[in-house]
Amino acid sequence: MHGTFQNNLAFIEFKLRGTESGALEHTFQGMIDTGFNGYLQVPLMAALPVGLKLVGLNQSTIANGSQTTSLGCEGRITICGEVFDTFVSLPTDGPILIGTQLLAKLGKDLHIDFVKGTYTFKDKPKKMQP
Amino acid sequence: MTQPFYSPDDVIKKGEAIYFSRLKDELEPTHSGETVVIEVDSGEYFINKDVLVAVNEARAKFPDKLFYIATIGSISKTSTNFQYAWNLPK
Repeated sequence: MHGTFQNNLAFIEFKLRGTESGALEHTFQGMIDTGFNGYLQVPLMAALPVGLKLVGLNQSTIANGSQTTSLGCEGRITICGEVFDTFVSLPTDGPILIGTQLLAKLGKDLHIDFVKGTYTFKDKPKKMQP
Repeated sequence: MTQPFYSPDDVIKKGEAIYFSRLKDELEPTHSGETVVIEVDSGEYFINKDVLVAVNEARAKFPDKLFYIATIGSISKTSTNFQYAWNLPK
């Protein structure tokens, strides 16, 4: 899986839908944000059509130090050929962010080439059997 | 049994009250950075480094409830109300 930078920011395409059967799937472009230690942030109005399951109210502190409250939902993401459940924070506005917990769950190595302005997800090398 | 209806403000206020009165001093020294998911009626809570794991544990026990979710150690003050935070008309 390869991607490119836009204005020095790394973006990746993914699909998101609710976890219930029959949920609509929409395609989004999200920014890889290694400073965001959550899963996924999608603005409320963009997320509504996909039918995420509301699980609670999520309080967190964002990069500028302010405290925010957003709806916390569960959804199913398809990214880099992998499909898994994800937590989704729904603020009123802001960019679509892919955080480090989601990257960890993806389970791939992420190589960023800031000189070329590209990034690559690679499968982790399998351990050799003794 | 019919579940009480709570607004977002209700969930936040009840969750914050439990966190600040009962959990903050107990959890912050040892679980800072982890997620706490609080069921606001019983006060029962679930902790995990992975927010999705904590939420799923909470939902397994309380399948129809909305939870208060916070990162331990990152909530330093009680919030303004939900309507204010979302710029909705009061």
